[in-house]
Amino acid sequence: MKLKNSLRNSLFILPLFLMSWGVANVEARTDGEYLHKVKREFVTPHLDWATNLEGGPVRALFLTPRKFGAREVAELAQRLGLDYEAFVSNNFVALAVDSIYEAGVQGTSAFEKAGELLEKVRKPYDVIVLANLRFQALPAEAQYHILKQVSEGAGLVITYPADFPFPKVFDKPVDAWEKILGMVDLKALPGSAASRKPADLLKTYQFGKGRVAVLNYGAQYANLGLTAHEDYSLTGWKARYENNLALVGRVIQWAAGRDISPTIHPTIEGDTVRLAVSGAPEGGLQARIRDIENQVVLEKKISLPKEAGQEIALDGLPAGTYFLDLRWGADSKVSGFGVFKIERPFAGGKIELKSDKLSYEAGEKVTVTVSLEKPLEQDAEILVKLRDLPEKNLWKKQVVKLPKGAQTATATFSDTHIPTIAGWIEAEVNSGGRLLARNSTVAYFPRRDIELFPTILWESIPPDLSEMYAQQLDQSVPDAAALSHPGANGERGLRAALFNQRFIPYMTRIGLKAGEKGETLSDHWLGLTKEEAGTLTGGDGSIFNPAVRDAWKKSIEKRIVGLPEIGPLVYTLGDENHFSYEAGFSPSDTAAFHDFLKTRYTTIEALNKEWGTSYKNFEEITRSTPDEMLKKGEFSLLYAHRRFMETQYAETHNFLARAIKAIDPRALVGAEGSVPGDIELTTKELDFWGPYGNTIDDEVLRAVAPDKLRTIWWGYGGEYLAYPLWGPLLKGTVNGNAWYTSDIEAPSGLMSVDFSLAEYYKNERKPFVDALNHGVGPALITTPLKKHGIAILWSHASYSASFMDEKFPNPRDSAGVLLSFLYRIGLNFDFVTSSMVEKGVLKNYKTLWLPGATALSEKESEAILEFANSGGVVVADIKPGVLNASLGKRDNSPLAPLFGLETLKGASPLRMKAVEVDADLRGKRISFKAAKSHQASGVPVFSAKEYGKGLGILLNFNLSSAANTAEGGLDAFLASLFQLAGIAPEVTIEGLTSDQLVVRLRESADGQILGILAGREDIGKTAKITLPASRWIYEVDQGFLSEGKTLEVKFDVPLKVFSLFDRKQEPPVFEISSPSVAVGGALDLRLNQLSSSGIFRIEVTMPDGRPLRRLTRIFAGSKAESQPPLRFALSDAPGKYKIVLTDIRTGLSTTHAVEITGERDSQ
Amino acid sequence: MKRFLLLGPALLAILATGHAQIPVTREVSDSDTSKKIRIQFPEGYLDYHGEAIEGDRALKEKLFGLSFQRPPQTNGGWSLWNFLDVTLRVNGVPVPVVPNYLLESAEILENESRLLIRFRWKPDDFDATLNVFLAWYPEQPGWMFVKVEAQGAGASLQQVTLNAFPGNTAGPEERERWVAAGDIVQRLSNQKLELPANTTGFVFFNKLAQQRDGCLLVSDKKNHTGGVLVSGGYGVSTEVTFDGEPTSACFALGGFLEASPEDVIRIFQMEGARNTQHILENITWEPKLDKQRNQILMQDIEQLLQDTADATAREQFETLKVSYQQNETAGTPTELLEVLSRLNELKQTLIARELAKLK
Repeated sequence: MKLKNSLRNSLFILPLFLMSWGVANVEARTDGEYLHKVKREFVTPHLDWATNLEGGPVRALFLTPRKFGAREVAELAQRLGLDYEAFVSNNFVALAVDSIYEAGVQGTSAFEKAGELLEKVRKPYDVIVLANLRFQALPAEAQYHILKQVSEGAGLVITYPADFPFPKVFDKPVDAWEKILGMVDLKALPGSAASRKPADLLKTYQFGKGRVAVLNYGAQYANLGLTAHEDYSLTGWKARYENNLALVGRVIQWAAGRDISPTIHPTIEGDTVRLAVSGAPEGGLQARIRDIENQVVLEKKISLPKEAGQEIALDGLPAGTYFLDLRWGADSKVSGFGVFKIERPFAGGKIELKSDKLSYEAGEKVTVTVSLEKPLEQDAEILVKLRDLPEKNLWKKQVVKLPKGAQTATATFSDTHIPTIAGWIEAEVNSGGRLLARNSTVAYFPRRDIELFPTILWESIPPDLSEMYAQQLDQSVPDAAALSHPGANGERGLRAALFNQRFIPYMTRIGLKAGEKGETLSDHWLGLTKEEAGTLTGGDGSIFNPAVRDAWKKSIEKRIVGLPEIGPLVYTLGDENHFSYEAGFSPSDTAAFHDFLKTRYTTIEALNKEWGTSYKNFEEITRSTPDEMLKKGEFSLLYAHRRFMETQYAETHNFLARAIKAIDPRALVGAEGSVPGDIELTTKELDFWGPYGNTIDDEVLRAVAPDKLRTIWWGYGGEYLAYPLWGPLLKGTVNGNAWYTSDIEAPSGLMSVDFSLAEYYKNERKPFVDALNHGVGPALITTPLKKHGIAILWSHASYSASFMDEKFPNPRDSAGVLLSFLYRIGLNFDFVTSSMVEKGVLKNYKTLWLPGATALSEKESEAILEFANSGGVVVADIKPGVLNASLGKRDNSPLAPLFGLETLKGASPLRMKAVEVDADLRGKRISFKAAKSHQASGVPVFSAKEYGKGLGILLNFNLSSAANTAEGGLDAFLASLFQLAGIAPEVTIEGLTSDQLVVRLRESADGQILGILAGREDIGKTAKITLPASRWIYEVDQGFLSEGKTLEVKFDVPLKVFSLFDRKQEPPVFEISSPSVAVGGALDLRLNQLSSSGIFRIEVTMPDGRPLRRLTRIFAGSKAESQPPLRFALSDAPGKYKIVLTDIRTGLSTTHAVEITGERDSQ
Repeated sequence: MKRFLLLGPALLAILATGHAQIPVTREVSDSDTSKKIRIQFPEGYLDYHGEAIEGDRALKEKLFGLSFQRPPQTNGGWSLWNFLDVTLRVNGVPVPVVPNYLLESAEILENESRLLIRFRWKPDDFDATLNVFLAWYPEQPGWMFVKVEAQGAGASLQQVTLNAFPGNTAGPEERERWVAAGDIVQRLSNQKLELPANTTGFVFFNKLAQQRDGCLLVSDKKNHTGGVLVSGGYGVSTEVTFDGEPTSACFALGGFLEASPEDVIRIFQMEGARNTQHILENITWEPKLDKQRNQILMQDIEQLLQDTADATAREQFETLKVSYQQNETAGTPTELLEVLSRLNELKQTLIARELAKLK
């Protein structure tokens, strides 16, 4: 206390105190409520069983794991009167798992969880429910408090009992289980529960004064707390889940000491249900019949007890499976409830539905054949319907005749457009105006479009509580693709399709490591056991081993089953893919290495010339280990070996991509979160790559894979707002959003354990991600970065050389500083690779920077000289071009003349020396001072020469050390070098001081987009933006701001994106083909007046004002004329719809109304 | 800065209302010859790893690390390997306890209003005990307060060495390590720089690279410091030797992240060091009692004893109760802590016994 007082009273402490607090807050732990509390806020569709329970709500404590016991508590609480407390453990065998990821969230440590539990178990309850949490996982003190409370009268319910350690709790069996199950038809339960013997499913005991119930579904299952597992299905699962919760409710009711003795038992005789009453149930009985899809089809109220014994008539119900719910009680309370299964037979037996294909492209013809097991004795009609999923909007219907005695009928639907990945085909057999029976099946309608700014989530919709999970996902992260293992026969992808979630199957993983003798071993064989792989490959894991290719191919064939039909967004070849330069010495590698050399050099003479060697033939070339080659100074050989391994890494990806495309020709294939190798080579044949977040590598990827999908995972925790997405998106290094993860169990998940949105995600991530999805993201992606004429060479050979001898500078040393400057100043640049330079890319640029470009090919050098000769300004550092492209030493760098040097050769140690530049170039004063930077001996610190129409400048120092030791003015120095090429920033920003500032200007034919990302410390500041000329300024997707040359903007959020135009913009002009369209019809949009450089969003609102989300789309103006029509379902409500077209760049919009006419047809 | 200001009122509310338990975890794996301990707290962790060779005094392996004020994605801040070395003088003989002897215990003594941890060494061949107390306050998250204490007849402090890597371990060649202490602002090298013995505030920072992260050290001015040597081109070491035969010394270990060293030095020298010193000098190192919690503990045992009717345990409990009351009255918290520890043991034993009846 004394200390606290001294803190409070000390004014002097404030400055440092704030500093400390700020520091602490940076690392502060995320509020952990989303992992600990089970709230009621997320409500899912459910039926009421006994929310108004006789005797009041049951005071219950649930002890259950995050996945998915916690949500099940919320599900039960929607159906049963509960006043509950929940304790949520990490998993079903441990309260907590201490890890660096968990440590970032409050309340997750073992210490904290034990404390939370002990506090909770000390409170009194009517019942304690141990819901699939191993009792041994609890501290002894908690076990004691629980059992003591039970012995004194509380109830204990144990689900998934496993090895409960205290058998004496079960010493006194009681027969209450018979009464409990007397009101629950076991055949109505899901999964293994349906086939359990009653006495095995539920056991009941008396322990002291308390009641104990053990609910054992007969299967160990990790992912549910209260109910039995059954794989998700569209028909049956939901109803059986409902039934299971009714059973759990009844068990809890008994364990909590409530009277459950009265029972009402139904007997089904033909079309009649007769009710037999036992005990003395009071009040009124509510009978409810549900169909197999859990829709209530009949309700009846009966007074008790005098009318008990009455009947419920079923004769209006078609054949099929139904569930009868009985609930009774007085004064609107429920004192008893139960559920029973009803089967209604069909004279035609089983109805089989077959579509001619499993998967259809848009517009294809769909043929459905319906077969009955037995012919009917009367004429009938079969109504065949096509619906989308999961909403089940009706798109097509057709009636086909089934004459008496016939067993088969066929319906054909032409030009079929189902807007969701999975479609629902229903067949109803009708006769004499009565529905006799029905059945349904699923077909797939893959979505072939890729959003302009796709979202990827790690993890897919689980097999348990799938509907509840998908409902939240759809509301909070709409249209996000799920990345996950495909599961057996693609089951995860197929399940995702049922909810219209696109899928990214994790097909395999690539890890090439070195064995003891450097042989290539493959780390991962998904779909094959290690033993199988070992037998198949004989310990030689090189991709050049035919057996390895065969094994990979088999693995792909096994894992791809079921996937082409749903049209995955992309297929991923893994994450954290990697390889080792120590590998590459398998028997099959040796031959492949020689082939690699022959392909690269063609003749041994060419190789010898490049390497400075005298081999007689390729086969004579032998490699020792990389370390030994390095020690011997065999740089060319070592580099060739490294290239060989990079090629092997790339070829492994390519081979697998080809294997996938051989089965699914439409497949897009890539990998994510993986080691790049030579990124240009690795990604050449791939369609998708997810790099690690690294400024230079990500920019190189943008250069080599501009049109490929690029994403970087974020969401691991410890991040601030959406910076990990904002920065790369603004820079153009990503064009998609990849969030890790939607897994409930993970501490970095976006959902709470009760499936509500995690507060941190809802408040500090979602608003920003929503804004990007709504339009800002696509606007940035579709508008190209303005070309400022700056090229930076990424020389993979030079980068490799930097690993061989510290005399060779690492290109990253200077490039990093240069990029930081260009981001802050608002100048755009492109990395160019050696092969791009050889192919003539430099003609598009004004200046070329060569950071650490020690190794250059002849052709590359010639292109650089030609670039300068034609007027380009070349800026290099240290000793460019002293090695050739094979890392062979040159007598003189071909670039020496460019810098006015007679010789530029050799490799000398880099020494730290003072830097002083003071020169006049093209009438400009160029000056710079730094205390020290790495310099090569024998080269002036600054050389410059007019070369042809251009200029060559050599800085004999790296920018990294120079930046650290600069006596001010590095930015001015760099700016002056760019000015020599006539390049200067167009936009200036005053008032934002962070080093993390990013300013990017994009340009299209009719306007510009200016994006500014303020650093954390600049949030809340007001900045003055000055443009080169007066412009009409709009905030993207928001609206008009002002006209002028300057703009003052408060950075209340870090990312601001503006559109700049020469003239005032008008709302977008579009027409609709007709003012009205019949239900089920299509409305063409005339979009030919839209700017081809624009980016637009169509939104449709229904007559009741709600958005019709399936018709929302964002498209580039260049694709305006190929936009498909707006298609309305037969089940869409007739009335006035609004069609809003927004020009995302300006936020201006135009609205048209269309009348949907005719009768809505949901049936 | 906006964020700091916004958070001000919330922080004051925490100060005014107090807070729940400080989350802390302790993972221990030990044997007679080996100890591995990690204590994780909100702002970092403490690591100890010692492995002895039987019959040999020197440890085969030793690590005593503090992850605190560590710049993200670095190994910087206070040393993750040996942030603290202590040499005692026992009857005139120097005993390098921390580097050479296996730790006896690491205990979390408090985690209510503050975190108080005690590391204890008892060298077999000397009648001396070394206690290292570490105190961390939620209100002062940027500081770790340390007390080094020698116990036993003839035992005193000879030298304490504190090690850090301001900013990071690795760094570019041009990085320079610097210290600002009193009027001295000097570049450090592997050669030891002697600072005035009465130096109590140190800012360790870098020039030419990693310039915005560094470490802060405050020494209690009541420490009987005989000399201070600072060195470091790579890691930075502060060796404090003691005059006379002091049995304890206190330090505050802090740092700064993403701040200008000039500003830090200015604020630190103007008032920060003095204020931290003030706090350091006023810390009560004896573990504080949580009477309410202890009351619950007693009630729990009482209840358990009523259930078990175990006469031996009852006797044991009565003895401990008396001892508790005596120590409470006498104000001897270390002894009281021992009694509480035994009461807890008794409770756990009784619980285990009760539970065993149900097997």
